[in-house]
Amino acid sequence: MSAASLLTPTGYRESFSGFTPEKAPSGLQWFHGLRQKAYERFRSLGFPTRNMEPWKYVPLGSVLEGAFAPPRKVSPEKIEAAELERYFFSSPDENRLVFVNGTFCRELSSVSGLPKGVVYQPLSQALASSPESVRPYLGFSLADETNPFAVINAFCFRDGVFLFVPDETPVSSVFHVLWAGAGEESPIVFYPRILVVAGTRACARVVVTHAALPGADFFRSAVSEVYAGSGSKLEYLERGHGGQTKALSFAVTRFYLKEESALNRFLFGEGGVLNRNETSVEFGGENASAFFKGFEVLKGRSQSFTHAGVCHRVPHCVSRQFYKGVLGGESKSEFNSLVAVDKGAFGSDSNQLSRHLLLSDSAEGYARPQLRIDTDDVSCIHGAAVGKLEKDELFYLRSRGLSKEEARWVLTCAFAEEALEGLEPVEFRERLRGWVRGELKGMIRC
Amino acid sequence: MLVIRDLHAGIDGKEILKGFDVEVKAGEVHAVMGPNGSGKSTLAKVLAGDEHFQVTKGEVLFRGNNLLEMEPEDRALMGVFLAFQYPVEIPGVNNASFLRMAYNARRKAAGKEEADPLEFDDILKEKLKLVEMDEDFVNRSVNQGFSGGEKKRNEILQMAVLDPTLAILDETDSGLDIDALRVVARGINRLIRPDNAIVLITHYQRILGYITPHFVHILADGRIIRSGGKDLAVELEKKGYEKIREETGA
Repeated sequence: MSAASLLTPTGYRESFSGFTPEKAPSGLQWFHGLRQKAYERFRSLGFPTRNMEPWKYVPLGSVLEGAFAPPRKVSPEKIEAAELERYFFSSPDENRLVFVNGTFCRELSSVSGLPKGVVYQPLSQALASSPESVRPYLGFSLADETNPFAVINAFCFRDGVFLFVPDETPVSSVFHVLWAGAGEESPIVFYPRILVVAGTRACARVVVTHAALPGADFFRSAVSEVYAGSGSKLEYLERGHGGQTKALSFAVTRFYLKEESALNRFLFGEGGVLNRNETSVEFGGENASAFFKGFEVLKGRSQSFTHAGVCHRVPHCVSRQFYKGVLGGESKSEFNSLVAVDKGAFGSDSNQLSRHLLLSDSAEGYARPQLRIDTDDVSCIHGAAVGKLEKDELFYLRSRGLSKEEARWVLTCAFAEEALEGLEPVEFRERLRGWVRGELKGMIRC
Repeated sequence: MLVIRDLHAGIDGKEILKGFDVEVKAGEVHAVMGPNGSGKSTLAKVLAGDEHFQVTKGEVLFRGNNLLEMEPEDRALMGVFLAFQYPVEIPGVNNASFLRMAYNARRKAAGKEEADPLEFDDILKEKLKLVEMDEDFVNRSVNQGFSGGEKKRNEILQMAVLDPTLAILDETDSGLDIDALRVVARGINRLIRPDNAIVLITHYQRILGYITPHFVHILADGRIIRSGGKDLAVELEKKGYEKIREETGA
């Protein structure tokens, strides 16, 4: 059986019994070996169960028992341009690579004016034209990978994005990757993959949008590997828009940061049925920093699970995590983070903070910021709060003539603002802010 | 304008106001004075509609309307304003935007056109002068990181913007140094008109050195034990609450 015939009446889990990974499309021996290795790793890991801590709250059944077909090639003309346009930020500096149901859409993409040596193209093309530039980095996280879905991605992905920014190259334009999921006759599965390599003292800004178009019904299992070279500066912004669709989305992002590199990461999520986002950071050199900010807006029965792992293996690195969520309806959100400071990683500085705002009595927020410290002379802070709008603040605003609804709206927007302020590019922030305010208005009225 | 009859109210089942009566007419300034725990803040919060407090008996009529049956925002839109003893910090809410929302809510309720940001900017500048506040103030989050004095001045700025018919000032003088007290009192004095009224709740006589009340009421154990003119505050300052209580047999 091959990945191309994954639809079985027995579901996703069953489709992997007696399965062998298909030959790598490019015919590269090393690439095939990588997929084979991933498959073997999956065989030893198996699927997770809810007895396992990282999967405790995740309704795995909807994925493992779901039946998904491989996607067909969607013709670009069938995609409403306006549906995609809302995710772009109409900046001339935006280099777009667009994928629909996992397949690259040349017609919807535009890349131009990149500095010399910068590679920004579909992985399939990079593997065909310059495989040796991909080879040292693709699958760098595989050896330590414990997430079975990330491992499956490694032997199932069809295409992806390769971004390479050479040493000493600052790029001011935005690299925008849009993964759109569109409705097909039956539910589909696809495996987005991104590989980002920033060379020594390179600078880049990457925006990744995962969008579920109206009527979409899919399981998306994405993996991103990001390698930040010495002294590089990387901004990595991700948006997940599940909307009112049946989208199931798992995403794994692995950052490897060399000495003195600086990562700024923003993660936004909303909608869909199920989202699980797992991120890890490994500091591979001293004086590196990783700043994470996250924000989500959930309503209806959406569920979101954000897991983060930061490993301070070497001294003098800084990590910050700040996650916020507004939860309405019967939505559920988990923030689960572990910061580990290894022996000898003195001078480590970490901070984990999460806040969930519950707009309804049926919404649930879980927060578990955790620390494991094996060395002295570190500064590690963690905190979490799950709660409703402050009654005193509501009364204060109402006593000035704002209606109950207006007061709730003002305070909820203020809660969101803290997560959005300072985000760049400005167009990205303004689009997101506009969207968030509109969404929150609707939720307050409910 | 305001008639309070036999008001009983409390919090968490504990009665604090035990039969409070007062009548306030347009153009009047009433000072309500009392020791800690006498029910001063409860009175302020009950009038503004704080749901933490329960009214068990009595009535409050504001321009003939039963105030106690109204939502806090409806009271505000009708012209009731409470300057908080402890103004709430609201991170992420811009002071100017908030003031404009409140101003426009009041305009809308009065059937008037709402002010756009530019128009409001002019209005705000004028009001800032009235309370001798810097323009930087309004570009910060509501009360966030404000000093005690700045918070109180911000309350008076809101009062100036909203132009209430009845302003209840809950210990607006507490925590202010002499200079700040003078500024706040000057601001309040500028807002007093023949068609509005002020209920000044205070612990000390000192603010009455700057704002002259028409009536002074002494509150003890949830009810007024003595009322009089501005001289009563002076007498109180000399004798103290305990002595007045003894004299009135309360």
